[in-house]
Amino acid sequence: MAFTTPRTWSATETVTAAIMNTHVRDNLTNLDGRTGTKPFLVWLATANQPPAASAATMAFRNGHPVLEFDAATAEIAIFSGVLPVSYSAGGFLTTVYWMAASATSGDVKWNVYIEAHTPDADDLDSDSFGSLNTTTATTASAAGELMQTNVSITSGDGLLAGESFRLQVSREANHAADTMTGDAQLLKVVFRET
Amino acid sequence: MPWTPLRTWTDGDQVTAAALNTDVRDNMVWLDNRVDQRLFQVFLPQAVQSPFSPKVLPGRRNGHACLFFQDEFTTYAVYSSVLPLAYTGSGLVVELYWTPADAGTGTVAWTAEFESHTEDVDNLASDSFGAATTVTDTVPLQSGIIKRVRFVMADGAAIDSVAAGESYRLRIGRDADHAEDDMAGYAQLFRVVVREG
Repeated sequence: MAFTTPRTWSATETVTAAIMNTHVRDNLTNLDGRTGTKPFLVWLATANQPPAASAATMAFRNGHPVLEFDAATAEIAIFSGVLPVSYSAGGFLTTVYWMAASATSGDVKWNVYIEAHTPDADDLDSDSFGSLNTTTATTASAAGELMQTNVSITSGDGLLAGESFRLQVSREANHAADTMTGDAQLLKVVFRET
Repeated sequence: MPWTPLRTWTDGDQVTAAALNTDVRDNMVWLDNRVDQRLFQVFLPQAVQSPFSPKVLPGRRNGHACLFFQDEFTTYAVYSSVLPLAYTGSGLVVELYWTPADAGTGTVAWTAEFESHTEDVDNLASDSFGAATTVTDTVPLQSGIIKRVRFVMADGAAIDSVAAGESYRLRIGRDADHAEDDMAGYAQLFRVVVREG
């Protein structure tokens, strides 16, 4: 229901059930439904912090910065952020916005790993990504058309609100399930609370 | 009004009009205003995507990064993002923070265009920006003073029907050929904000 301008109460008036339902119950329900403070982080291809080896390649497609993931060798992109303190332990979802460089059929296996940086615990001198999260998705019907592929995060490496973290995205090109020919071009990545 | 810590009601309390107005009405109004700010994306000049022709020139003004828009021909800046899931379909407001490079008089014609990237439909191999919305703004009292120009764009065609969770681009232009754009010299753009209307 819509939000009703809250009632200005006057002395000695009778507080009826109808008034309480409209001005208190329904308005609180409305506000609860509109409170969209769940974390929603967006990274563009340009935010990539490439690893020393097996890095996805930076490129442009009609002016769009993209990261190209090879069809034969597993390649990696890494994004860094801080989980907003509004996170309420609802779990995570990663969405990969991607397209095929040339293919119009076939599947791509996207892998996502989280690396939490727990204060006074994790040593950034070595990588400490958590376990695999993965989804295999079919490419769009035309090269250049975008796909939004969700990867459910079942292993979030214990990431907590307010903590620094990295998110690694890779294409497992040498996996049997990855059948798309040519590069996969990553445009954006979203990391959000479910 | 500010947020008031919530009252803990006790048996036998006399529920007064003052208590209801302070603890219920005013807090609800505060919340109503606050939740509407949840969709709020800020683009700095460093986020502009090139190559794009004719593109703006990046520069600085007293250390502030900014983008320079020509007065002789139309130039563009393009920003890219994903529309947060918090969007509820009330349209979008785009705000530009700008100032003239030099002292002077006149008006600048700004344009804003959205390009939605609908899954398995829009092909990024070519541009598909929606119709441009134009807003004109006069120069401030003094060069260096920031002005804010606001585009109010309805949901649907005006924002190329970009939906919550969709990838999109926003193209900001100075329409130097517009009949009302008569300010001499560069217009400097410092910030672009996208929020729900």
